[in-house]
Amino acid sequence: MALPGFSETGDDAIPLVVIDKAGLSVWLDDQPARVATWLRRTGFDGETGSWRAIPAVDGDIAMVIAGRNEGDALWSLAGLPMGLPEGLVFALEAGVSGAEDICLGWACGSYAFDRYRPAKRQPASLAWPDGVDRAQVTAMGEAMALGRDLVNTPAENMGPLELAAAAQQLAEHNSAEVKVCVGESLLTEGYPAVHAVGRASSRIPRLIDLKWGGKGAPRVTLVGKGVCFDTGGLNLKNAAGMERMKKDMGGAACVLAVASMVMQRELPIQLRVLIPAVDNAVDGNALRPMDIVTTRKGLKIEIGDTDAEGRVVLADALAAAVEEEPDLVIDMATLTGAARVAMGPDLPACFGSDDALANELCDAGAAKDDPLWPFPLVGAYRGHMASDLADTNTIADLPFADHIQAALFLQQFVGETTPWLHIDTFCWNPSARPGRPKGGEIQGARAVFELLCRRYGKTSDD
Amino acid sequence: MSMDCFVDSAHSDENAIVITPVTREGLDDWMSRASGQQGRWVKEHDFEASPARFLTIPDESGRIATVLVATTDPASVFSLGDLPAALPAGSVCRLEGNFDVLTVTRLALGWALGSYRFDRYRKNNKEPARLIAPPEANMERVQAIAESICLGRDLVNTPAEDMGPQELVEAVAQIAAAAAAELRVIEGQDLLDQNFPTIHTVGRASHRPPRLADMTWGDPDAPKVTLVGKGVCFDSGGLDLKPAAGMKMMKKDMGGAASAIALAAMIMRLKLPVRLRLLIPAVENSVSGNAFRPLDVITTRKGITVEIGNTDAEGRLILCDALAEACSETPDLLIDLATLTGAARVALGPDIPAFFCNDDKLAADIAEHGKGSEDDVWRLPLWPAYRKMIEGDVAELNNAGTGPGAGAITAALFLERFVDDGVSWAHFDIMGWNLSGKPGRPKGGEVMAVRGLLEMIEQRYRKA
Repeated sequence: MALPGFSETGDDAIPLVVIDKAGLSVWLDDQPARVATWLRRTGFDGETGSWRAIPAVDGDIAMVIAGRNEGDALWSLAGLPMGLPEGLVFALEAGVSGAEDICLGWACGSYAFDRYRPAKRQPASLAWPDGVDRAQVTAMGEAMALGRDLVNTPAENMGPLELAAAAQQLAEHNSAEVKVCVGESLLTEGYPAVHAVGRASSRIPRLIDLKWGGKGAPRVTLVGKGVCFDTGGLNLKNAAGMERMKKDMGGAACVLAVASMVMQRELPIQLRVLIPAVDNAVDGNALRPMDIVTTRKGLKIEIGDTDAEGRVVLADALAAAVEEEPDLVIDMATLTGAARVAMGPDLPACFGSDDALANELCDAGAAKDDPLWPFPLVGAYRGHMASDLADTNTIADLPFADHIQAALFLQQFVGETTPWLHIDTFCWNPSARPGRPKGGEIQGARAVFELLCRRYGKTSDD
Repeated sequence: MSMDCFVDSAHSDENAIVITPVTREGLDDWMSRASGQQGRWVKEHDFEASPARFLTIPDESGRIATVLVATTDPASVFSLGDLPAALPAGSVCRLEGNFDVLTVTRLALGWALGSYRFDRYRKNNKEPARLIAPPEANMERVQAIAESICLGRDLVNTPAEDMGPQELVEAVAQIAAAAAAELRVIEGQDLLDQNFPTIHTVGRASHRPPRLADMTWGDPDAPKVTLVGKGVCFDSGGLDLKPAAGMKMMKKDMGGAASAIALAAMIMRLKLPVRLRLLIPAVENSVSGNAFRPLDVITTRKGITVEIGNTDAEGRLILCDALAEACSETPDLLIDLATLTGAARVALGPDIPAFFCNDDKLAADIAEHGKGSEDDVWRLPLWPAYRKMIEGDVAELNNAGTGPGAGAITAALFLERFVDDGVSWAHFDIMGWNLSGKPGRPKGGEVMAVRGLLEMIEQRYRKA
């Protein structure tokens, strides 16, 4: 599959010059005076993310110059694909540093969601630079686009069935096995909490279980929250809170994106992906506040609020994940508003079974411009989730730190022995930035992939 | 305040209740040495030395002979925190066990912190139990820390009617007098004349005029450590009035000042080798005809113009003039403490202050000493991409972040603009309140983050 925004050939391509602010004047010394004049008159100072087309004498575009800070390769040119004229091909100078990051940023910036109307324009094309690992860039770019598409697709067209179909398609493409446990079977196969949350919808709940990779390799299990639409259930959300809830399967989209990267790059691990895919709907048989659900693990949970459903479906999936004692379990979920209040849209919160593991993930994310921020599993807050009748409530009696409470809840299903990371993510760009169009976003996936590469023997740049 | 929770170590009382801290692992060993009667008693009560539990054990005459109290290894500072209030009124206790100086000092500190009661408005009818000062403990340190924390708790617990800007500044005067520190107080109109316009603007609507307390202490040539504390004596929200639920606890909105005052008192009593400066902007955020309004623009002390997005984001306003003044002498270390945002509570809950820092090494030291002294804090980032959330429409800055979310971060980014490059700075966004009682930490006003900060500062300026 060809990645949008790239050209196989650089013949007749327009040169694209990348400079940092400090290097602009040196670069200008070697240019005709009219170039310096043009850039000065048009106010170009080499600021990161800014660019100018430089005219030839005949009015054609002779070259494009773009500003970039050293160490800011990924996003600094990512506004160009949708900024430069469409239909033209541009070529980086040979040997420009960070070419692979520039390419990935270009790929992310070429993304458009065109399922329901044609894209307003096509991206300008970048000729594949020599020496860049096309397969790597393509794997990353395609995974990001796949995930964004899943999040952006309206809930009507992205229910539990369609989410499972997306996983099946990905599995087929990569010769992975996938098993989907559907509807009543969830009760017989031991996923009662997934069934309880999803039973009120006309679109029956599912548990997606994808497996890939050779026996004997380290086991890594990814768990993604796949709430295809979250009305809140009987604790119905208000209009403002419900509006974007098509994105409540963003965690599932993120883990499918990671899975795609892992499989395309053939990381030497045994991968398992578990996605509880449900609608949190309202119906006569909807789960009610103060109902008690017996989970897969046997822990009985009292439903404090039907809108805290993500942690409930994850509880069964995490319990299933740890049963085969993997080397690492990572779950990703659009779980709490508190994580957004705390960190805003850019920074997913991450929790680790130990601090070092969480810091390892944050370091990997920082290295790949996919930032996360670590949070503590505060032992002193455990008591706030006590239930009068069951082993635990699903919500705390404390109006603070719900993301920490949610993580503490999940920890009960992971247990003490399995290394575990939990990512509470937003999966949405509230406004557009270069390479990150408004709408569905895959946050944390590149960080997780980098962590896996660092741990299991390949760097993601290999 | 005297530490009447301790009895002089020369005191010998054969009837003293023996307090024996025991770890879960050490319980068997204790049992092996206990009498049959005592061992049976412990077994009957299922005492397993699980956290925060204690058990009183009778002697043959029915009196309390021993209290077994659960502890950890190393011993938690709060191990004995419940005992002063739980043991019989007026009883005298003696600590038993082989502890090193550090440990016994920690245990004694927990005893002192657990003895705190706020009795200004009614007498407690039960006197706390007293502990014979353990001879091995560094009681000077225990008293310096505990009395400073209790002072801070008193300041927070005192209702706003009796803890206005004047009274808060008097508390600074009290610690200044005790340590022969210099104090300058700028009050009311003088704030304008001496260019603290933001402090004046926030505080002008109250009939109790705003003030800035500026205290200095120590060798002028020693490294300069400057503490700034938010002293909003009552925060009604101003014209952006808080609803009843949000306003109820706002007597505690000078909790940052109380914490900074407590830390300053500790530093002076323990005579740390620093030149200390304490800046407390003390105001009441009130509603009146002359109250400052949404979308007013203030030219701050530093010259940066600030558009008022919300009058209830007043803490960062008074702090910005104080921070600008603090930077005028380029301190080696600048720390501000403030009950600043609800978002910090959403981020980390009531027990863990959020902190922000422009110096990674300093941040690591703060986190480490916080953890080591069981005064945990957690770092949040000064996230550069969110700077656009505090841009003003007609001024350089807006005091209310546009979001979405990240309110604690945008508040910190606002303050960052008033701190000079090159100054090592840490900002603490604290609750200043215990929502429920825990051992050594009674419900109500609390001084947060400062025990860890004290140890960090001691370490940083330890003489070679």
